[in-house]
Amino acid sequence: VARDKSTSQLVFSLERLQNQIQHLIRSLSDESRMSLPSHRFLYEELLDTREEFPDFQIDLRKNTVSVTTGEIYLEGIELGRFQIQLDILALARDTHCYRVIALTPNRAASRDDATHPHVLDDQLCEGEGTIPLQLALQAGRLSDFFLIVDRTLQTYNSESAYVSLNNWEDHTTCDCCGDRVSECDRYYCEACEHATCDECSTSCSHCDGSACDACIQRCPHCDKRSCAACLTPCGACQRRCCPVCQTDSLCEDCHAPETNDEETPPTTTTLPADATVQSDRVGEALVPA
Amino acid sequence: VKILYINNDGAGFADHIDIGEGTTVSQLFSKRVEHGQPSDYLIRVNRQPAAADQVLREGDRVSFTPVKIEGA
Repeated sequence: VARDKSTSQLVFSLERLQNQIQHLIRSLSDESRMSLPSHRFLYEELLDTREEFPDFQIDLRKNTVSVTTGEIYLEGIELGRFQIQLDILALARDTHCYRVIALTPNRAASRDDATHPHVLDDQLCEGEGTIPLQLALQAGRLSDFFLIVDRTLQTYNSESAYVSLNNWEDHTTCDCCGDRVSECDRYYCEACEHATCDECSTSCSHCDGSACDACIQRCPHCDKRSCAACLTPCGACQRRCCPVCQTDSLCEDCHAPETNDEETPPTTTTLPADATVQSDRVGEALVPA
Repeated sequence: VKILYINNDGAGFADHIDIGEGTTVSQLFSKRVEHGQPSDYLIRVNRQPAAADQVLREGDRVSFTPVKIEGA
């Protein structure tokens, strides 16, 4: 058993070594085949890039070549223009060599660092463009490089985005009418907690609380809009009405008419026949009729 | 006829290839991009937009770049 185990470990190690050697051979072979582009070729590439992107800049101090894309709209959302900035020194060092900078950023509501569904911190997640971009940069095909980045920025892949465009502006749907409503125009019903648009939200006349159309009610007495919390049952008939239309927990119908002292007949007290009559004051006495 | 053929789609391709005499841009596209539609690509010959019936010549540089490239 021990010998079998050692053999399988040896086979595994040899296979791993074989893979590493093959990878090394491939890398050396690619390097030997690769030739640096000529000055003339690079010059033509720069001319071609300038023709493709009129907003084209070479910054000799920063060692960058930059182009600006047109306005980018994806799924009806304006993301603005982007500058694609290629760092020549980084390209020579074979490190990540370009940035995608939003010039008028419309950042995702949920992420400040996302200026595009496929751009985070000025870095493009290349997806399908990865290998064509590598090949273009290796060969010095600068115009193809800028074109591929531009086409990637002009395309939306909903299945693999840092932030979905559906949530870009933090839009949600009104639970009453189904219209899209942004965060700043959104109301929440205090009864059912559903999100509503401005038109489907109403304030309670008594507490100013928000309620959706489905939850707002009217007081049967004054007909004013009232939220469910402000409509309380009458202590007698149990019909719910607003606080203004209730007195001593009774609705207007059930509450007795208010008493009026002026119209109330004077009260009399009947004393027993044998009651001792005592005067309250001199000359005054209460005498039974 | 030897041309430089560049395909900026998928795995990418950039190399010199031999094509038959009188091959047009449209014929090259059909042969090289079997499942694609020309309208889905930016097609350039010698860095300029090209007509479908343009005949390719020795030393031409032909590039096909997808209009839409999905990021991740």
